[in-house]
Amino acid sequence: MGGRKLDEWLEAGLIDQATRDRIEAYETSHSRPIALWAIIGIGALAIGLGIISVIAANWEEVPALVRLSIHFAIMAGLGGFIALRGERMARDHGWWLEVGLFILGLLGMAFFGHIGQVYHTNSPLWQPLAAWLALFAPLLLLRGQSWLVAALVIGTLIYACWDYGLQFDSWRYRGPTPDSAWISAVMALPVLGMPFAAAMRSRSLRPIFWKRVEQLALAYAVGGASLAIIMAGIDSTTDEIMSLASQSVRALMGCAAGLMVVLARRGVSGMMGGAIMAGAGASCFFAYAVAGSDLMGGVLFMALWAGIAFTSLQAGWRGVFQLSVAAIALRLIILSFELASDLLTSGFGLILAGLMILGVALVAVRISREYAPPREGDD
Amino acid sequence: MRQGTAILAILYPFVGLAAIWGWSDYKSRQGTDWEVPIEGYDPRDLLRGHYVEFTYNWPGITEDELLDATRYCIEGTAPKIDKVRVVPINEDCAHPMESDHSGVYGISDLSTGRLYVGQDRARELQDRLWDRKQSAYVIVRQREDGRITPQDIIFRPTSRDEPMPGAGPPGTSQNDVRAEDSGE
Repeated sequence: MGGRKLDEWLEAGLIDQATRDRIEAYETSHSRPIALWAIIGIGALAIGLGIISVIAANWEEVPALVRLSIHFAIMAGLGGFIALRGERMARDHGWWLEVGLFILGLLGMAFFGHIGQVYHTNSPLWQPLAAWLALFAPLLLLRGQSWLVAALVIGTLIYACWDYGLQFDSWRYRGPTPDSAWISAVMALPVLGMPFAAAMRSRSLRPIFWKRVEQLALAYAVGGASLAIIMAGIDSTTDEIMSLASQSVRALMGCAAGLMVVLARRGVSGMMGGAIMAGAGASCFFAYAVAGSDLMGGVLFMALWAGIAFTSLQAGWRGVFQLSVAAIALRLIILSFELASDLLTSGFGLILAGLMILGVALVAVRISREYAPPREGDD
Repeated sequence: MRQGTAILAILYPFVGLAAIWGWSDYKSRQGTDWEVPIEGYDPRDLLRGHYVEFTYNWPGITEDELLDATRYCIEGTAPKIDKVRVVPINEDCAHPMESDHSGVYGISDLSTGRLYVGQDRARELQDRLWDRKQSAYVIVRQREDGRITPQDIIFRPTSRDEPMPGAGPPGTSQNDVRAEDSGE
């Protein structure tokens, strides 16, 4: 920290000379040689890149069994270290454990690719990802500390479910296709992570971790519902993925997940989280009803986010409230262009459109400042 | 968390990965090896990193059939393929071959293939694939579940340059006829 800021504060009367000296002494004793670290880091990076490129250049020269064994041994070493020191790391250096678990997870994922390369096996991506989840999710969920591991598990689950669903795309898949309701159910599967995490949160010693899992699953549900509404608004597609059966399955799963969250985690926060989840599910059903209509699609989108804004007010989630106001404002602007696209063809219309964008943005900023719950309640 | 659970949770993924490894190793040894005539795919595209890309010339089947159908039957005595024909899902076949659209080549997975080799070998194979005096064959391993896996690429002198088939090594003449049949 530079002494200039301290001098400014001293002059402004914010701090006195004694405080200034104490801060300076503290900063000096706690200063970190960042430049030195940067050089060491660049050196380590160069060595690492060199090792990687030497290995890569001779990759096929190294016998497959040796390669796989080394990969396995590295994972085993890391796994053994976590087994021996995990408890202590969780207590003293939570982030180290988190990063260790994350790397172990990625190494495990890469092992599937490595096996595929050595034995020329070739399967749809969701299969190795599902196998990885079956093998690694228990460990990661038992040990995870924060959002890094939570995002790895939920992210992989979402990717695997989408890869499963999208493999039946007509342009690349020829063969018997399962029912669209089944595909939709699989693709909606990650939302069940929310009630699961809600149930674990009260029992676990790591409530932060389970809260992150809950948030990610809820974000997936809300994002998915928003996407479904936008797609339905664009055109009344006859695509199977937007059929009544598909949307009903999504609605059912969202509502069921929401109800389970409310039951699993008593209190305002659980109630509101469950309500958002159920609302996201239900809006998929309404998306079917409004399919093909710009206006109704926009209204439904804003209704979903207005609901989220309302629940976040109840629960005191500042960030979520501000996000929903931003989403509604953005949709409002887009909607106005959709409804009056001919405005853009004249100079006067352009001015009008610009004024309207400014107006919506200003109102949105005001609302999100004045009505947002205080920061303390952020959850 | 109890100590037992912690140990189990960390051992379990390793046991699973080892099992998948063992299973893949076992499966890779199963099946029948066939020789399929091939040609280079595209001179500019042939050598991409550490693999060689090629186009299969399956005897007795058209390009369209390879794109449209999903199940085929290989007829012949390994490693010599007499012909490949389209068969329905439920029809019995001693050597079935199935299209797998999930791979890098999508629905073209039986038209185009790749063989992973070291950089030096890839360069050598690339040169030889463009040598018209030789016909190239890929040895594919066909498993009972219909999966096709390239194993190696071999070369035989082309018949046009060697009008005396008897002069070549055993099996040469048969292979040369096959290469011509397949429309080279």
